[in-house]
Amino acid sequence: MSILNHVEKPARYVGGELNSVIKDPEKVDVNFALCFADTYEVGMSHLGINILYEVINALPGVWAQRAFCPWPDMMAALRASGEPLRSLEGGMPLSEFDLVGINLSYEMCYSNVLAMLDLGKLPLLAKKREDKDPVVVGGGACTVNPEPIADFFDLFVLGEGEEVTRELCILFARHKKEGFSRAAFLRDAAKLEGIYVPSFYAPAYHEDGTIREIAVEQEGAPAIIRKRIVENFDAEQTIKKPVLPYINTVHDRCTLEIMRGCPRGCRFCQAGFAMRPVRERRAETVREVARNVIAATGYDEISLSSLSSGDYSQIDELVNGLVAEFCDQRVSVSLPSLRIDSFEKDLAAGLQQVRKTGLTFAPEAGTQRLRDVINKNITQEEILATVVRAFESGVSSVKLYFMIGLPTETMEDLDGIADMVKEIRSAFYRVPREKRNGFLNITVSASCFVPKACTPFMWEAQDTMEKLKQKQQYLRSKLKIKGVKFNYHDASLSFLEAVLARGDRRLAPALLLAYQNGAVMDAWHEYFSLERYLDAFRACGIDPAFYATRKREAGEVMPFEHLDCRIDKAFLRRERDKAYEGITTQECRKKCHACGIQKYCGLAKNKRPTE
Amino acid sequence: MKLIIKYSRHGAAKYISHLDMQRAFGRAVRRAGIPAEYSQGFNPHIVMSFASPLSVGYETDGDYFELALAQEAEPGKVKDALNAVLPRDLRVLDIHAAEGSKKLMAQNESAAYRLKFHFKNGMDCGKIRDAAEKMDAAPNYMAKDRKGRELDIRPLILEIGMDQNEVMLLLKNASDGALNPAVVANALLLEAGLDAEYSVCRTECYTIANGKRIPFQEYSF
Repeated sequence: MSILNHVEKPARYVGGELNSVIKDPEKVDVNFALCFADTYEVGMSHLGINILYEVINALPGVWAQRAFCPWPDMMAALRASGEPLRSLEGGMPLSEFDLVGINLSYEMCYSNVLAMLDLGKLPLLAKKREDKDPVVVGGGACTVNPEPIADFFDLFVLGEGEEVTRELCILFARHKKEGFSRAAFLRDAAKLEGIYVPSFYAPAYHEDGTIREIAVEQEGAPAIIRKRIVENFDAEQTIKKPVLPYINTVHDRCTLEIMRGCPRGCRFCQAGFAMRPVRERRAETVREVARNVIAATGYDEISLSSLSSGDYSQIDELVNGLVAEFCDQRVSVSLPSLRIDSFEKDLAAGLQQVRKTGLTFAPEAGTQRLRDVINKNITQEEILATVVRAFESGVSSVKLYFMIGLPTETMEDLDGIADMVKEIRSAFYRVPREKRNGFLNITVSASCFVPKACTPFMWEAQDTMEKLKQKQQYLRSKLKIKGVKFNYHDASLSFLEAVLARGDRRLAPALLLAYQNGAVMDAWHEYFSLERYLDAFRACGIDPAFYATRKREAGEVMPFEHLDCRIDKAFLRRERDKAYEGITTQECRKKCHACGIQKYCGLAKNKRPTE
Repeated sequence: MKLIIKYSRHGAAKYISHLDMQRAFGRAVRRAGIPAEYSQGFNPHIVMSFASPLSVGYETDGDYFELALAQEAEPGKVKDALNAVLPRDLRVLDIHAAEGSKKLMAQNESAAYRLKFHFKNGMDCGKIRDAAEKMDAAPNYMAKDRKGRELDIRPLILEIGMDQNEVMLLLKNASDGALNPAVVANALLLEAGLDAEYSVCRTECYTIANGKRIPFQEYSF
């Protein structure tokens, strides 16, 4: 283990944390490597990984062990020594596992996926794997369209993983007992709802490069693979005794998942559609979970996790309950992704009772016209009213998130961003000096719009990189204001993200080549190089603009046409048309818009937990 | 009330930083439900301070921190409560109550270490023994510190000797001078003309009381 003395942050690679699970290898039937294709610090902050760790380890005879993507210094050390990538708990090489499950949280982790398989000494291509090799499973956000990396995976889990992962482990145990055959296992796995075996499907293409059809090649495999939705979200197993990292992770606190799905329907947001239906965990259940986690970890901070915590129907009751219960233990409660229009004054006071935090808003667009286009139902008046209340209670820092390159955007919309910042600034100075606190601090972040699968904007063209860079510079000059900090995303990274988000299987050879030419940790500025990818696309005869900046026709067959996230395409198209007319769509719990999920949606049937 | 807590760290925990250690013990105190004193302010934290930071990669059988309590507690019970909730690689070895208000960190005078070299060749151990003897006998000994600066390390080495195959060191560890055992280890390797990995374990922290060197465990703070 001497290489650990020569790498940065060796604690990333040694495990031994409180609550990590050690099982007797003699009594384990199925070994599951739970992998995250980014650093330990990022992966340990991921809700899904932590949930699945407890879900899998609760199964008798199944052992989930974690593995994360090593930092490049450790990658080099592993390669130099010939050592394989190992799990943290038992120090097992990845190649010795039965199942290697990799979380695909976003497109920029694909090079890390290849690095982990490679360092784990697994064949990179699924078709090269033999019966003795692990079955490589992908899950998480990117499975809405996993086609660009389909060649590297034996199967994908579509949708929510808790139930189907249990079923998969049990199925594997049975096959292992009866003498394992990869082909037979995959055939049986494909019968589970939510399991997609990519090798059973073959896309064919038109001459212009668009997809003609996606044919089913395997008898018995479903023509359409439906994403999985857990039966009972409130009762489903969640994080109760999480591994407590020694080193500081990105979200080093007690995270409570209060709601899945989002009723809002912002038209650019993949999670907002792909994670439907909206379901809440009861406040009482959440508090009980919090009790468990705090006792098991000693955390002094609680944060609530969901796509839109302000829309959680019991938010006041929950937050007040948590504050009251944990105040004596000096546990603070903070709310991320709080919606402006649900930010109540009492709520703000409740939070400050324990910890003073800044305000974070995501107006996403600078004018009401464009906010209507993207269905971000917030008005500038609401933002200002909230900000003023917050300033009066002593808050002096505001973070604002915007997106540039949205469909129909003009320079006037960018001016709107600057105007909003100026309005917020003058609102601060209108608050009487004795009521406001210190100096105003506004951070404006602008990301680049990336059209994603399963959204009303999945047919749209992304702005070209030149256009995005132009807009960034324009905004930068407009936001040279005292006390205002402007950050913007790297347009080249967003371009690659757009290529991959709606990419197809023809991208796989280029991804492999880019990896072989050194691509890794693409989400980290210091390692990302678009050139490396452009070279690989060129070598493989791929035009990346075909994927990123091309507008799709309504009837075009999408690479993910056979994957059903249970949202009707016709609904998404209707939403797209409404966007161009500037018509908003109300949040779905007030009025159902028949997105397609209503058949499975408890809320549409008025089964709200409070009622 | 203030407790002086002696602890060990081994295994995976040796790779964590000083800050990580503080956080790990702080959370253990919370899990154990020990009535710790909290600082004032917006982000109250447990009032605790460590005697001497330990480098990443070093083990210890003799490190200390002090913990302020908001109410009285029996040291033996606190020890049991902490050991019940700590990860396996961190252990509380001893707790005694401080009688005065002396700061732990200000009492540091020296620290003892065990250096274990991992040789492929058994003969190399003898070469290290020779190098250690030479270092012990010399009135001055120039070596490069971790930043590559040349300095005379001999005055900072209070004792150097062998215990079977391990080098035992007592090194100055005070505000007016301190030596990291890695500097000695590298100097010994250089002297012996060898290249090898080594591991370090701190075994005790000492202070001077009435002209005598005594371990923190026996000192009344």
